[in-house]
Amino acid sequence: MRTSEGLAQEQLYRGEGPKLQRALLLYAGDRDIANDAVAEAFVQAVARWDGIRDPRRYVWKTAFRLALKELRDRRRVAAQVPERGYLMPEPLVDLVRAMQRLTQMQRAAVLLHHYAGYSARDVARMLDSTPGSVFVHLAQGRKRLRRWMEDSDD
Amino acid sequence: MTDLRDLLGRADGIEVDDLWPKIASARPSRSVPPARRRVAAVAVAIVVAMGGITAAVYGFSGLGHAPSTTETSPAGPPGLPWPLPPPRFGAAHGWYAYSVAPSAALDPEGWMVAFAANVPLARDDLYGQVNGQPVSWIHDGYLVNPATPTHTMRQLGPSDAMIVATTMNGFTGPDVNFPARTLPLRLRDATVEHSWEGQVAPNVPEYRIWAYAHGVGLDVRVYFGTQHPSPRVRAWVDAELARLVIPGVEAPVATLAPLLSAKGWHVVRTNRSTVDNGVGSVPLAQVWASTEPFVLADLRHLEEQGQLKFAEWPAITILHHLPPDGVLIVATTLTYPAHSVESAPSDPAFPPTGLPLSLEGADVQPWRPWVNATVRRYEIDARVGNVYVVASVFFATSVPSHALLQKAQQELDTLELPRT
Repeated sequence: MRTSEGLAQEQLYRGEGPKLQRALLLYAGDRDIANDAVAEAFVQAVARWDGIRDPRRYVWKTAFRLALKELRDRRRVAAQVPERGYLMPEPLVDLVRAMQRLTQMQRAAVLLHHYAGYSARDVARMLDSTPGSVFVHLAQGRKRLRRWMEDSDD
Repeated sequence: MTDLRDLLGRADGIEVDDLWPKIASARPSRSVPPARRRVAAVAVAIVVAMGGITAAVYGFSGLGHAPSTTETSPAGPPGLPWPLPPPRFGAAHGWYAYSVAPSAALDPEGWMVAFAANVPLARDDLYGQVNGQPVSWIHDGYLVNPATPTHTMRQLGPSDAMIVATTMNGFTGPDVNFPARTLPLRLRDATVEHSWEGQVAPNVPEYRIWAYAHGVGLDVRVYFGTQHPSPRVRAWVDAELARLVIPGVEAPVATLAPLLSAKGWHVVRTNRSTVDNGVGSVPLAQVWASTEPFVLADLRHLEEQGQLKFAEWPAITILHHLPPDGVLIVATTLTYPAHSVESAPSDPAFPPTGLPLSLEGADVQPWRPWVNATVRRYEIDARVGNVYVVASVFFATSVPSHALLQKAQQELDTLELPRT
């Protein structure tokens, strides 16, 4: 029999998991890294459920850190455009390419702030950074993306 | 021009896999992020009574160790073997230290954890169940789930502290988050989080020190039982941090356990055991290696007691059930400071020798026949430099075969002693 806790955990996944997977795909440029990080983050959240004050923020933070660690381990910080045949229309491949023009911190900051909707202060806590640094990353990231969008529009 | 939010909104069109079935069915894996990896490790607090060490423990001081491994990987830091042996804390009175043992329980990613607290680990942080089977979270290598020492954290008092130190691979040099630092790490270098994600109690702050040192990434976290630890408690922690030893880096203090590392053996070790020699408690360091999995009842005793007393033998269970082709090795090291009075060579019971120790010439005796009448102990007492070592090799047969002796000798050949 499922417990209310189990239901809450699944609801958390249903609500946040897909968006988080997409964000991490943009962040890492690799579907395997994204899926593994999300799965692991949720497994950890489930295991530590009672000790987590904000499960949503916990899984986002944990998943991003896992993905970052995996990227470091694989030493493939450089862009890896996912295979197009894998449910990835051309505009989205372009989006992934665009994100890879940013640094890791810029990508993380932009995705957590503009895509996931976290405040700069929350983003700073998630990335173990300071709000000031996050603002800088956001500004630089937006600048690069705008440049890319202008080039695309041309 | 396309708005940024609209641009990112395109991502909602990406189809994703449903991971929930995988999440729901998974037990916690060993892949944990550096920032939240609390505890892993093989716990070892060994309690042994061996008549052979009686003469050596009087006045005994500390231990040192220089580990090595034969496995290497291009993923490891330059110049260091990989995966690395785990970090560890040197023996010290008043601290309980745990470290991942070089055994099959190692995290294949090479993330190793040392753990130290000036309070015993809470029982629920040590033991639990997986699929209905009792496990030791630390010893059995379940690095995530309740191995996060939240129960211990909740019980920390104003004078208590707990340290979790993780070494990480994948670093090619210092970066913004992991600046270059030299050992020992100091509490004053820590970033203090009075409120942090997953905080178990409002009175428990997290002091975080990230560093890159000697080719290794370090994630060290200190937890206190108060938001305002006293200077004395902070000094205790700094002293313990000074005893943190990273593989490949010369030990700041010579207080480490010996090492046995042949593949296919189950190994537990401790830097934090003490024996009451009638004058006072002195620290010992030990390593156990067995062809058989260690028995939880024995480990529980080791992990919870941490005290060596004569006439006690906590590994009775494993010896009682040792199969005819089984072997248990217990190596104890006792190290005197290099220039101490005790370091002068004088004890004929511990003749100067070199490594590897040999089973040939070992003193063979029955061992506690009321426990297991067939058990024989091969004891080797030796002195290597200023390190006293007592190696006991147990066979569950009165006449071990040549092959069995050879198997034990091969494991004994891997013995490394503290370097002082």
